Amino acid sequence: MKLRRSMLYVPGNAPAMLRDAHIYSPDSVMFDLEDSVSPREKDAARHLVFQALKHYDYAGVERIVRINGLDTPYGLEDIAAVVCGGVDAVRLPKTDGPEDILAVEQAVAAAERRFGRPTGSVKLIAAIESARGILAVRDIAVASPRLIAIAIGAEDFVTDMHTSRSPDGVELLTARSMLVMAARAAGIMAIDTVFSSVDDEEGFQREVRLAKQLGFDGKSVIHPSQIAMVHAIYAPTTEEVAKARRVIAAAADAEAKGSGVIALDGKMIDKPIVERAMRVLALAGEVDA
Amino acid sequence: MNIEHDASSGTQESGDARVMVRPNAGKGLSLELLGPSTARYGEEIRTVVLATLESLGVSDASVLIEEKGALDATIRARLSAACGRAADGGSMPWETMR
Repeated sequence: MKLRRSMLYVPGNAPAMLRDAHIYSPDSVMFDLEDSVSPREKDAARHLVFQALKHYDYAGVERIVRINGLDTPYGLEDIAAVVCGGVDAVRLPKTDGPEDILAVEQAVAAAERRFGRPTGSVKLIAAIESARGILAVRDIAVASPRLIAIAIGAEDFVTDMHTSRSPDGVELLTARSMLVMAARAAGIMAIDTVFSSVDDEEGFQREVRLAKQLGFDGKSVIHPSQIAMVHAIYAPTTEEVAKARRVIAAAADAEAKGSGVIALDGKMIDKPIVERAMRVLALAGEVDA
Repeated sequence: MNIEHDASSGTQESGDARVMVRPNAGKGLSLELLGPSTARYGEEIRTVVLATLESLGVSDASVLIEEKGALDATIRARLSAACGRAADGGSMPWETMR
Protein backbone atom coordinates (compact mmCIF):
# COMPACT_ATOMS: atom_id res chain seq x y z
CA MET A 1 0.00 0.00 0.00
CA LYS A 2 1.13 3.53 -0.66
CA LEU A 3 -0.19 7.06 -0.61
CA ARG A 4 -1.92 8.30 -3.74
CA ARG A 5 -2.73 11.87 -2.79
CA SER A 6 -1.58 13.26 -6.13
CA MET A 7 -1.56 11.64 -9.60
CA LEU A 8 0.14 13.94 -12.08
CA TYR A 9 -1.10 13.72 -15.66
CA VAL A 10 1.71 13.88 -18.22
CA PRO A 11 0.85 13.99 -21.94
CA GLY A 12 2.38 10.93 -23.57
CA ASN A 13 3.66 12.83 -26.56
CA ALA A 14 5.81 15.36 -24.66
CA PRO A 15 9.38 13.99 -24.35
CA ALA A 16 10.70 16.63 -21.95
CA MET A 17 7.69 16.36 -19.64
CA LEU A 18 7.93 12.57 -19.58
CA ARG A 19 11.55 12.82 -18.47
CA ASP A 20 10.95 15.31 -15.65
CA ALA A 21 7.53 14.20 -14.40
CA HIS A 22 8.72 12.92 -11.03
CA ILE A 23 10.84 15.87 -9.96
CA TYR A 24 7.80 17.62 -8.46
CA SER A 25 7.34 14.64 -6.12
CA PRO A 26 3.80 13.54 -6.95
CA ASP A 27 2.75 10.26 -5.34
CA SER A 28 2.14 8.89 -8.84
CA VAL A 29 2.81 10.00 -12.40
CA MET A 30 0.18 9.17 -14.98
CA PHE A 31 1.37 9.13 -18.58
CA ASP A 32 -1.55 9.78 -20.87
CA LEU A 33 -2.08 8.01 -24.17
CA GLU A 34 -5.76 8.94 -24.38
CA ASP A 35 -7.38 12.38 -24.56
CA SER A 36 -4.21 14.49 -24.60
CA VAL A 37 -2.84 12.67 -27.67
CA SER A 38 -4.31 13.21 -31.15
CA PRO A 39 -5.24 10.08 -33.14
CA ARG A 40 -2.37 10.56 -35.62
CA GLU A 41 0.19 10.68 -32.79
CA LYS A 42 -1.09 7.69 -30.79
CA ASP A 43 1.71 5.41 -32.02
CA ALA A 44 4.43 8.01 -31.38
CA ALA A 45 3.19 8.65 -27.83
CA ARG A 46 3.09 4.91 -27.18
CA HIS A 47 6.76 4.63 -28.19
CA LEU A 48 7.76 7.59 -26.00
CA VAL A 49 5.94 6.17 -22.98
CA PHE A 50 7.42 2.70 -23.60
CA GLN A 51 10.93 4.19 -23.64
CA ALA A 52 10.24 6.33 -20.56
CA LEU A 53 9.01 3.30 -18.60
CA LYS A 54 11.96 1.22 -19.73
CA HIS A 55 14.82 3.65 -19.35
CA TYR A 56 14.02 6.55 -17.00
CA ASP A 57 14.50 6.35 -13.26
CA TYR A 58 11.47 7.87 -11.55
CA ALA A 59 13.02 7.49 -8.10
CA GLY A 60 10.31 5.19 -6.80
CA VAL A 61 7.37 7.33 -7.93
CA GLU A 62 4.54 5.07 -9.07
CA ARG A 63 4.15 4.95 -12.86
CA ILE A 64 0.63 4.70 -14.21
CA VAL A 65 -0.41 4.89 -17.86
CA ARG A 66 -3.86 5.94 -19.01
CA ILE A 67 -4.46 3.78 -22.06
CA ASN A 68 -7.03 4.14 -24.80
CA GLY A 69 -10.15 2.02 -24.39
CA LEU A 70 -10.30 -1.45 -25.87
CA ASP A 71 -13.11 -0.22 -28.12
CA THR A 72 -10.54 1.89 -30.00
CA PRO A 73 -7.87 0.67 -32.46
CA TYR A 74 -5.17 1.63 -29.91
CA GLY A 75 -6.08 -0.04 -26.63
CA LEU A 76 -4.56 -3.50 -27.12
CA GLU A 77 -1.25 -2.22 -28.48
CA ASP A 78 -1.13 0.32 -25.62
CA ILE A 79 -1.41 -2.54 -23.13
CA ALA A 80 1.33 -4.54 -24.88
CA ALA A 81 3.71 -1.57 -24.88
CA VAL A 82 3.21 -0.50 -21.28
CA VAL A 83 3.21 -3.99 -19.78
CA CYS A 84 6.43 -4.76 -21.67
CA GLY A 85 7.83 -1.39 -20.58
CA GLY A 86 7.28 -2.25 -16.92
CA VAL A 87 4.29 -0.09 -15.95
CA ASP A 88 3.05 -0.29 -12.36
CA ALA A 89 -0.64 0.28 -13.12
CA VAL A 90 -2.90 0.74 -16.13
CA ARG A 91 -5.68 3.29 -15.90
CA LEU A 92 -8.71 2.48 -18.02
CA PRO A 93 -10.80 5.49 -19.11
CA LYS A 94 -14.57 5.56 -19.53
CA THR A 95 -15.35 2.43 -17.54
CA ASP A 96 -19.08 1.73 -17.82
CA GLY A 97 -19.29 -1.69 -16.21
CA PRO A 98 -17.36 -4.65 -14.78
CA GLU A 99 -17.15 -6.18 -18.27
CA ASP A 100 -14.76 -3.36 -19.27
CA ILE A 101 -12.45 -4.26 -16.40
CA LEU A 102 -12.61 -7.95 -17.21
CA ALA A 103 -11.64 -7.27 -20.82
CA VAL A 104 -8.65 -5.18 -19.77
CA GLU A 105 -7.67 -7.73 -17.16
CA GLN A 106 -7.64 -10.45 -19.81
CA ALA A 107 -5.48 -8.35 -22.14
CA VAL A 108 -3.10 -7.40 -19.32
CA ALA A 109 -2.78 -11.03 -18.20
CA ALA A 110 -1.99 -12.06 -21.80
CA ALA A 111 0.65 -9.32 -21.99
CA GLU A 112 2.19 -10.45 -18.69
CA ARG A 113 2.54 -13.96 -20.11
CA ARG A 114 3.92 -12.68 -23.41
CA PHE A 115 6.57 -10.52 -21.75
CA GLY A 116 7.40 -12.79 -18.83
CA ARG A 117 6.07 -10.58 -16.07
CA PRO A 118 4.62 -12.23 -12.95
CA THR A 119 0.86 -12.79 -13.16
CA GLY A 120 -0.99 -10.02 -11.35
CA SER A 121 2.00 -7.68 -11.17
CA VAL A 122 0.28 -5.01 -13.27
CA LYS A 123 -2.42 -3.23 -11.29
CA LEU A 124 -5.54 -1.53 -12.63
CA ILE A 125 -7.32 1.76 -11.98
CA ALA A 126 -10.80 2.35 -13.40
CA ALA A 127 -11.91 5.84 -14.30
CA ILE A 128 -15.66 6.27 -14.26
CA GLU A 129 -17.00 9.05 -16.44
CA SER A 130 -20.69 8.34 -17.13
CA ALA A 131 -24.00 7.94 -15.35
CA ARG A 132 -23.98 4.28 -16.40
CA GLY A 133 -20.55 3.82 -14.85
CA ILE A 134 -21.54 5.44 -11.57
CA LEU A 135 -24.63 3.25 -11.33
CA ALA A 136 -22.38 0.21 -11.85
CA VAL A 137 -19.62 1.43 -9.54
CA ARG A 138 -20.19 -1.23 -6.85
CA ASP A 139 -19.67 -4.00 -9.39
CA ILE A 140 -16.77 -2.21 -11.06
CA ALA A 141 -14.93 -1.77 -7.76
CA VAL A 142 -14.90 -5.54 -7.11
CA ALA A 143 -14.45 -6.67 -10.73
CA SER A 144 -10.76 -7.56 -10.42
CA PRO A 145 -8.24 -8.23 -7.66
CA ARG A 146 -5.86 -6.09 -9.71
CA LEU A 147 -7.92 -2.96 -9.04
CA ILE A 148 -6.17 -0.61 -6.65
CA ALA A 149 -8.38 2.43 -7.16
CA ILE A 150 -11.39 3.87 -8.89
CA ALA A 151 -11.44 7.45 -10.10
CA ILE A 152 -14.08 9.87 -11.23
CA GLY A 153 -13.65 11.78 -14.48
CA ALA A 154 -15.87 14.81 -14.10
CA GLU A 155 -15.80 16.47 -17.51
CA ASP A 156 -17.32 13.54 -19.39
CA PHE A 157 -19.61 12.79 -16.47
CA VAL A 158 -21.22 16.24 -16.34
CA THR A 159 -21.61 16.19 -20.12
CA ASP A 160 -23.36 12.83 -19.84
CA MET A 161 -25.57 14.32 -17.11
CA HIS A 162 -26.55 17.30 -19.32
CA THR A 163 -25.01 19.76 -16.87
CA SER A 164 -21.69 21.52 -16.28
CA ARG A 165 -19.22 21.93 -13.46
CA SER A 166 -19.93 24.55 -10.81
CA PRO A 167 -17.68 25.99 -8.09
CA ASP A 168 -19.37 24.05 -5.27
CA GLY A 169 -19.55 20.82 -7.29
CA VAL A 170 -23.15 20.06 -6.38
CA GLU A 171 -23.62 18.29 -9.73
CA LEU A 172 -20.90 15.78 -8.73
CA LEU A 173 -21.86 15.23 -5.11
CA THR A 174 -23.91 12.06 -5.57
CA ALA A 175 -21.44 10.52 -8.00
CA ARG A 176 -18.46 11.33 -5.79
CA SER A 177 -20.20 9.93 -2.72
CA MET A 178 -21.23 6.74 -4.49
CA LEU A 179 -17.73 6.25 -5.85
CA VAL A 180 -16.04 6.71 -2.47
CA MET A 181 -18.51 4.36 -0.82
CA ALA A 182 -17.89 1.68 -3.47
CA ALA A 183 -14.15 2.09 -3.03
CA ARG A 184 -14.37 1.77 0.75
CA ALA A 185 -16.63 -1.28 0.50
CA ALA A 186 -14.17 -2.92 -1.92
CA GLY A 187 -11.13 -1.95 0.14
CA ILE A 188 -9.52 0.09 -2.66
CA MET A 189 -8.72 3.77 -3.11
CA ALA A 190 -10.87 6.58 -4.49
CA ILE A 191 -9.28 9.28 -6.63
CA ASP A 192 -10.98 12.59 -7.39
CA THR A 193 -11.21 14.28 -10.77
CA VAL A 194 -8.92 16.96 -12.22
CA PHE A 195 -9.44 20.67 -11.66
CA SER A 196 -8.71 22.33 -14.97
CA SER A 197 -8.37 26.03 -14.04
CA VAL A 198 -4.69 25.96 -13.16
CA ASP A 199 -4.64 29.65 -12.15
CA ASP A 200 -7.57 29.36 -9.74
CA GLU A 201 -5.68 28.18 -6.66
CA GLU A 202 -8.48 29.06 -4.27
CA GLY A 203 -11.01 27.05 -6.28
CA PHE A 204 -8.59 24.15 -6.51
CA GLN A 205 -7.94 24.07 -2.78
CA ARG A 206 -11.66 24.27 -2.05
CA GLU A 207 -12.25 21.27 -4.28
CA VAL A 208 -9.40 19.26 -2.69
CA ARG A 209 -10.81 19.96 0.80
CA LEU A 210 -14.23 18.78 -0.35
CA ALA A 211 -12.78 15.59 -1.87
CA LYS A 212 -10.77 14.88 1.27
CA GLN A 213 -13.81 15.44 3.48
CA LEU A 214 -15.85 13.04 1.33
CA GLY A 215 -13.19 10.39 1.88
CA PHE A 216 -11.18 10.50 -1.36
CA ASP A 217 -7.60 9.28 -1.03
CA GLY A 218 -6.25 11.74 -3.56
CA LYS A 219 -6.76 13.73 -6.70
CA SER A 220 -5.66 13.62 -10.32
CA VAL A 221 -3.74 16.81 -11.08
CA ILE A 222 -2.81 18.41 -14.37
CA HIS A 223 -0.09 20.83 -13.27
CA PRO A 224 2.93 20.38 -11.00
CA SER A 225 1.92 23.47 -9.00
CA GLN A 226 -1.16 21.60 -7.77
CA ILE A 227 0.86 18.80 -6.12
CA ALA A 228 2.13 20.70 -3.09
CA MET A 229 -1.35 22.15 -2.48
CA VAL A 230 -2.90 18.68 -2.42
CA HIS A 231 -0.22 17.33 -0.09
CA ALA A 232 -0.59 20.31 2.24
CA ILE A 233 -4.34 19.80 2.51
CA TYR A 234 -3.95 16.06 3.11
CA ALA A 235 -1.19 16.59 5.67
CA PRO A 236 -2.42 16.10 9.25
CA THR A 237 -1.89 18.91 11.77
CA THR A 238 0.80 18.67 14.47
CA GLU A 239 -1.94 18.05 17.04
CA GLU A 240 -3.49 15.28 14.96
CA VAL A 241 -0.09 13.60 14.59
CA ALA A 242 0.67 13.90 18.32
CA LYS A 243 -2.69 12.39 19.21
CA ALA A 244 -2.30 9.61 16.65
CA ARG A 245 1.10 8.71 18.10
CA ARG A 246 -0.42 8.42 21.56
CA VAL A 247 -3.28 6.24 20.27
CA ILE A 248 -0.84 3.91 18.49
CA ALA A 249 1.39 3.78 21.59
CA ALA A 250 -1.63 2.89 23.75
CA ALA A 251 -2.65 0.18 21.28
CA ALA A 252 0.89 -1.25 21.30
CA ASP A 253 0.92 -1.15 25.08
CA ALA A 254 -2.39 -3.03 25.29
CA GLU A 255 -1.13 -5.64 22.84
CA ALA A 256 2.10 -6.11 24.82
CA LYS A 257 0.04 -6.71 27.93
CA GLY A 258 -2.18 -9.14 26.09
CA SER A 259 -5.16 -6.91 26.76
CA GLY A 260 -7.99 -6.54 24.29
CA VAL A 261 -8.97 -3.21 25.80
CA ILE A 262 -7.10 -0.10 24.71
CA ALA A 263 -7.29 2.86 27.05
CA LEU A 264 -6.00 6.40 26.68
CA ASP A 265 -6.50 9.19 29.22
CA GLY A 266 -9.04 7.04 31.00
CA LYS A 267 -11.13 6.47 27.86
CA MET A 268 -11.64 3.33 25.81
CA ILE A 269 -10.17 3.44 22.33
CA ASP A 270 -12.11 1.60 19.63
CA LYS A 271 -10.56 -0.17 16.64
CA PRO A 272 -11.74 2.50 14.15
CA ILE A 273 -9.88 5.13 16.15
CA VAL A 274 -6.69 3.08 15.93
CA GLU A 275 -7.21 2.69 12.18
CA ARG A 276 -7.73 6.44 11.79
CA ALA A 277 -4.61 7.11 13.83
CA MET A 278 -2.60 4.79 11.57
CA ARG A 279 -3.90 6.66 8.54
CA VAL A 280 -2.92 10.00 10.12
CA LEU A 281 0.62 8.71 10.72
CA ALA A 282 0.75 7.36 7.15
CA LEU A 283 -0.26 10.75 5.77
CA ALA A 284 2.40 12.31 7.99
CA GLY A 285 4.94 9.94 6.44
CA GLU A 286 5.71 8.27 9.77
CA VAL A 287 4.51 4.78 8.82
CA ASP A 288 3.76 2.98 5.58
CA ALA A 289 0.26 3.64 4.32
CA MET B 1 10.43 -5.20 -40.28
CA ASN B 2 10.53 -3.91 -43.87
CA ILE B 3 10.60 -0.22 -44.66
CA GLU B 4 7.98 0.02 -47.38
CA HIS B 5 7.71 3.79 -47.90
CA ASP B 6 8.84 7.15 -46.55
CA ALA B 7 7.71 8.02 -43.04
CA SER B 8 8.68 10.39 -40.24
CA SER B 9 8.13 10.98 -36.55
CA GLY B 10 8.98 13.60 -33.93
CA THR B 11 9.30 17.36 -33.84
CA GLN B 12 12.00 20.00 -34.00
CA GLU B 13 11.26 21.22 -30.50
CA SER B 14 14.05 21.40 -27.94
CA GLY B 15 14.69 18.01 -26.33
CA ASP B 16 13.12 16.18 -29.27
CA ALA B 17 14.26 14.75 -32.58
CA ARG B 18 12.74 14.52 -36.03
CA VAL B 19 13.37 11.20 -37.71
CA MET B 20 12.78 10.37 -41.37
CA VAL B 21 13.14 6.89 -42.80
CA ARG B 22 13.09 5.81 -46.44
CA PRO B 23 13.24 2.45 -48.19
CA ASN B 24 16.74 1.37 -49.17
CA ALA B 25 16.02 -2.12 -50.48
CA GLY B 26 19.05 -4.36 -50.72
CA LYS B 27 21.48 -1.56 -49.91
CA GLY B 28 21.76 -1.88 -46.14
CA LEU B 29 21.59 1.06 -43.72
CA SER B 30 22.44 4.65 -44.48
CA LEU B 31 22.40 7.20 -41.66
CA GLU B 32 22.62 10.98 -41.67
CA LEU B 33 22.71 12.97 -38.43
CA LEU B 34 22.04 16.69 -38.11
CA GLY B 35 21.79 18.84 -34.99
CA PRO B 36 23.68 20.58 -32.20
CA SER B 37 24.81 17.42 -30.40
CA THR B 38 26.10 15.51 -33.40
CA ALA B 39 29.62 16.99 -33.32
CA ARG B 40 30.14 15.84 -29.75
CA TYR B 41 27.82 12.87 -29.40
CA GLY B 42 27.52 11.72 -33.01
CA GLU B 43 29.10 8.34 -32.38
CA GLU B 44 26.90 7.65 -29.35
CA ILE B 45 23.79 8.61 -31.31
CA ARG B 46 24.87 6.44 -34.21
CA THR B 47 25.30 3.49 -31.84
CA VAL B 48 21.80 4.06 -30.40
CA VAL B 49 20.28 4.29 -33.87
CA LEU B 50 21.95 1.14 -35.17
CA ALA B 51 21.03 -0.85 -32.06
CA THR B 52 17.43 0.34 -32.35
CA LEU B 53 17.19 -0.63 -36.01
CA GLU B 54 18.66 -4.03 -35.21
CA SER B 55 16.14 -4.60 -32.43
CA LEU B 56 13.35 -3.74 -34.88
CA GLY B 57 14.76 -6.11 -37.48
CA VAL B 58 15.34 -3.28 -39.97
CA SER B 59 18.31 -4.07 -42.20
CA ASP B 60 17.67 -1.84 -45.22
CA ALA B 61 16.75 1.80 -44.67
CA SER B 62 17.90 5.32 -45.24
CA VAL B 63 17.60 7.29 -41.99
CA LEU B 64 17.86 11.04 -41.43
CA ILE B 65 17.82 12.36 -37.86
CA GLU B 66 17.57 16.03 -36.96
CA GLU B 67 18.09 16.10 -33.23
CA LYS B 68 17.55 19.04 -30.89
CA GLY B 69 19.25 17.78 -27.77
CA ALA B 70 17.08 14.65 -27.56
CA LEU B 71 17.96 11.99 -24.99
CA ASP B 72 18.68 8.45 -26.21
CA ALA B 73 15.23 7.24 -25.15
CA THR B 74 13.57 9.95 -27.23
CA ILE B 75 15.68 9.11 -30.29
CA ARG B 76 14.81 5.43 -29.89
CA ALA B 77 11.10 6.28 -29.57
CA ARG B 78 11.04 8.59 -32.59
CA LEU B 79 13.00 6.14 -34.72
CA SER B 80 10.79 3.20 -33.71
CA ALA B 81 7.64 5.20 -34.48
CA ALA B 82 8.96 6.26 -37.88
CA CYS B 83 9.89 2.65 -38.74
CA GLY B 84 6.48 1.41 -37.56
CA ARG B 85 4.80 3.94 -39.83
CA ALA B 86 7.08 3.12 -42.75
CA ALA B 87 6.31 -0.57 -42.34
CA ASP B 88 2.57 0.12 -42.47
CA GLY B 89 1.65 -0.54 -38.88
CA GLY B 90 0.91 -3.86 -37.29
CA SER B 91 2.01 -4.82 -33.81
CA MET B 92 5.54 -3.81 -32.77
CA PRO B 93 8.07 -6.41 -31.55
CA TRP B 94 8.07 -4.86 -28.05
CA GLU B 95 9.93 -7.76 -26.47
CA THR B 96 12.98 -7.31 -28.68
CA MET B 97 12.98 -3.53 -28.58
CA ARG B 98 15.59 -1.77 -26.50
